[in-house]
Amino acid sequence: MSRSQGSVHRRFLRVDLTTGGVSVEEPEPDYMRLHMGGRNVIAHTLLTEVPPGSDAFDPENRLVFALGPITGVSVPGGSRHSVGAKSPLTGLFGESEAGGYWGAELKRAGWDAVIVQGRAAHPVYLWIDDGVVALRDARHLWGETTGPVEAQIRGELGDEHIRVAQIGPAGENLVRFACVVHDLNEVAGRTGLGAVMGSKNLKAIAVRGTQPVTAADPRAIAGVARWVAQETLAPGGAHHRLHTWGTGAMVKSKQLEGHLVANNFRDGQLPGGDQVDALAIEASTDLEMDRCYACSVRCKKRVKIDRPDRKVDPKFGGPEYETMAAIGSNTGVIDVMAVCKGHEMLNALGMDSISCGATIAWAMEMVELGLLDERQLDGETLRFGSADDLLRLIGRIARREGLGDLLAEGSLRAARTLGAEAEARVVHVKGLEVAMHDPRAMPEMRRNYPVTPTGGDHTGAAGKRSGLRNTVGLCHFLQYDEATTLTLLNAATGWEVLPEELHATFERGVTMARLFNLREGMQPEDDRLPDRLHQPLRHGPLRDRRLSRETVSDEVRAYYRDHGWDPATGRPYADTVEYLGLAAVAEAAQATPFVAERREPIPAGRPPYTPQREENGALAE
Amino acid sequence: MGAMTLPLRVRVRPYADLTRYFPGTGAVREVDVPAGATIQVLLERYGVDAEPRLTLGLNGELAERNARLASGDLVDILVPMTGGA
Repeated sequence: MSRSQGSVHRRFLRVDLTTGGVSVEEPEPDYMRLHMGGRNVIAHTLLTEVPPGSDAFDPENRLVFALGPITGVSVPGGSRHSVGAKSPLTGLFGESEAGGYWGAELKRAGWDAVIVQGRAAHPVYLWIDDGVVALRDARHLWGETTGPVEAQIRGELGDEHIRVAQIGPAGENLVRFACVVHDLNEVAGRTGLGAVMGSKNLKAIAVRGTQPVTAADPRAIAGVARWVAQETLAPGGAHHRLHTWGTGAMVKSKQLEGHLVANNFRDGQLPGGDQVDALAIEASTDLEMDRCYACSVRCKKRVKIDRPDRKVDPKFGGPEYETMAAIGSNTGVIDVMAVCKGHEMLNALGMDSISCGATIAWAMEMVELGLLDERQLDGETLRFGSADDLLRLIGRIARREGLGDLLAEGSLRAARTLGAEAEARVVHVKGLEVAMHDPRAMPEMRRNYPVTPTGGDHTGAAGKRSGLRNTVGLCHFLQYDEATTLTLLNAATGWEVLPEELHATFERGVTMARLFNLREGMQPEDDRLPDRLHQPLRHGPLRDRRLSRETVSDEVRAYYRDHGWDPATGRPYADTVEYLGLAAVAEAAQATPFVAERREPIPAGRPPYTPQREENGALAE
Repeated sequence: MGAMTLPLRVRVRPYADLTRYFPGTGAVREVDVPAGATIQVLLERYGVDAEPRLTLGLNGELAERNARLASGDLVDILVPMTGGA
């Protein structure tokens, strides 16, 4: 294999599970510069290869593992990759990111992306050993949880350094919020990508790469790495808090301010709700901090508990804030040990903690209201605040047992079987359960949730900063400004990308995702917040605050305008599509009916979107 | 000569790395502030006002910096949360 210049190989691995064929694809040289990686590669693939209107579980859906140019480069934050497919939860653009080591290992094996299509006749796993690729029988692994599967694959391939991306029983059982689990603790959690993997009978992708990733300018990379390690980790430093506790050290602030997500988003305060935080985990468990590839920040928890009824294995990591709130305060559970146990179960079974917790919280409210009948409950008790109910139901959802079978469909689909009263209480955007930051109190979430292409995602993925981090393969938590991001990108690749080009890359990604969503039936009315988030909280300092629908719709229209989309319909303007070099893509994707004509031409020489400054970068608690 | 004004002894509960601003150990620490002090005075005295954003609690309720302190009060000092994993 020829060595790459810089950190981009220009090599995609194509796997057709129906035929068993694997092939190498070398995108055109300008493809990598145009799309770079991550979201953009996913969106381009879904647009041009997934037949319009096809079901997420159709073999024609694509499951894409896309690295960025910085993935695998030896710099803090350079561990990230994205996984994408048409989502079985939303029926729209599905995408989620993970860190850890798997993405860097794939880069070291000589690949920039893996595109999986078709469906295997029986369970298989993919083994990528540098440039040698094989599909192997996985029937003996089917039904197993993630821990034993990783050990078994490493054992049978004879290499403890193999990195494994896999699904648990939830993905096999097509739980619509099943996730893809990497290294047992790094999950591409959102939008049900594990269920797509399960629908393809693909249990795992095991990777071993032995080629160092070369950066075009290693000294520039080393300079940034040195800054992080030497100047940001001490008390008061930019990464100190993450370095020491991971996320969730300041949960109490939400409780005080009155927007702790509690009891299915009805309450902003919960007695004891702030007892489930990173400080409580530090105080009450055996906690160590772990890291992702090349990262000195070390913000990942590894929790060990030896108590017999809550025994937790540190190999599954530990809960970060979203999980603490999703299966903690939002279900009324204030038992930190139970939350740690729930986190371990979710990673072992392969489910997204946010959607799972939110769906259980919704179901608890349905029980309170008497909207689930005896037959549907199937003997299940389900009470806000009951850790035992929570943990039992997590297992039953993954196995689709009893009530778990209904909840495995996700909260929106489950609610639609119960009627309008039930549906009105689902806290979702586009079918994706809203993450654990309340937009009634947090303007950045209010602006982001309605327009993020995946739905109720909290990572700022509709915005430039997070959109670009995703595309270049860089962690959101690293406090790099835009200039440093650009330095890293150019030092990694040898490209000479200017800020305007980087911005256009971000616009290309959100516009492709938009075209995909419009083609798949999304309407502008879907860019909204759910009813619950327009209702006042029942308790606390914000109980009199009301978020108006006009505020949200005005911000949505402003977002359309800023991105060169028609403010009335949310359809990208033709000049935007043309400017971004996407006209042929739109044509090939049968998406041109969803492109709008601008009435007033824009002045020559100006981009059709509004150049934006990077949003406030702090996504770090 | 007027009567001596005795300092107030209040309790502070700084979270996570904010403990570094206060002497002593433990989750709750006792500190002295001048009689009639507000939370802002307390923050300035211990240098915490250097933090760009703070969330403050007084005896378990959300509080502003201009809240006046009384003997034995418990002041929670945190940084507001933004998005996260």
